[in-house]
Amino acid sequence: MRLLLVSACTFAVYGGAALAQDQQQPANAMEEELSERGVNYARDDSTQDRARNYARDAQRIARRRQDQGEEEDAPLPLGEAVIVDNNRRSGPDN
Amino acid sequence: MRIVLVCLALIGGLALPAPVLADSNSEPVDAFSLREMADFSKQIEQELASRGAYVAMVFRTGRDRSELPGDIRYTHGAFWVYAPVPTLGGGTQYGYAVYNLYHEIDPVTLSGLYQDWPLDFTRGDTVGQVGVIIPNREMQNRILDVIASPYFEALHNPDYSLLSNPADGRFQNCTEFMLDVVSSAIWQTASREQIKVNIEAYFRPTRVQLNPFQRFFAPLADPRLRFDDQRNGIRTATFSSLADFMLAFDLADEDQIFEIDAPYSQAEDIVYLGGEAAATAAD
Repeated sequence: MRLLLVSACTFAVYGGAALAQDQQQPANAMEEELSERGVNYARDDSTQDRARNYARDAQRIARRRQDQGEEEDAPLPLGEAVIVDNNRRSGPDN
Repeated sequence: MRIVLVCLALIGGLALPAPVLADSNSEPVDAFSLREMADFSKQIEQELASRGAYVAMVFRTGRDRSELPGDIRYTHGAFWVYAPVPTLGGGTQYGYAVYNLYHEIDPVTLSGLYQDWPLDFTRGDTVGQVGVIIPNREMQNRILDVIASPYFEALHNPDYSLLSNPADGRFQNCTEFMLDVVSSAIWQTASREQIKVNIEAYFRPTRVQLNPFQRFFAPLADPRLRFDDQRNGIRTATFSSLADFMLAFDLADEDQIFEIDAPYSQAEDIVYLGGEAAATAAD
């Protein structure tokens, strides 16, 4: 299982690098338009592995903060950069 | 196709989105500037973070509301999950990852699960307004447990219908998928059969009024409209029916169900009333 996870991570890193190169042109155009805001691009492809990893990270953070006695509606810190995925799949209604 | 559309016009007009009839699988057209949509996405994130939301259910509409049937107010919903997000510089920032069910471009009758980001979400918005349900802390933790587990994919049915019946397992759309995930979190099961039985018993779906002509012609014009799972009228899950469900079973507080307007929004505000009134007033 550990090997599988390492392999998946390695693949994701390579995949992300390839994707970043593929999307260089539109990324630059978008970055220009959003230059005042600051922009970051997803490093890897939209896979369920990536999605689950984010969710597990979210679990860890939520539990840690709750274990530390965080109040239910305590504000959460938030980054300023906007993250985008150039591989848009969304239609008007889903 | 033109003949079908003419027929629909002759029978009094179909109360379903005109663009759906014209071209169901076109790529979305940005309604606002990229900068505006980026700012709106960050505004939503800031509102969620200020309320301490680790998980929120957020809805937007990709159609002008005048094109939507009945009282339906939003056309897409997704889970927003607070997470550390890697940046290109090798660092990490906190933000929200968005968990969607999208129908495919081709064929449109199949769907997939896709994780993307708040800006990807607001780029599909055409009115500058989103609906939000923040579950209570216990439910947030339970929903997060489902999203982080293989159950999340097990709950997905790739057979897509735009107006799927939430109490029937044959088809699924984005909002029904959210309801299935919430149900899995409530009843601690990944059995879709059991979830559908429970939804039939406890969930009050939104009714969509279609006359027999509309019901016959609509699937001819848009293959995403499949009514095999509907009996005695059209029933589907919406923002308001989900909000009612969350309120009725104390899964969310009333002040955690609200709408967020972009600065450029022209959409009218709807005060969420809760209970039966909201089914007609807030969706």
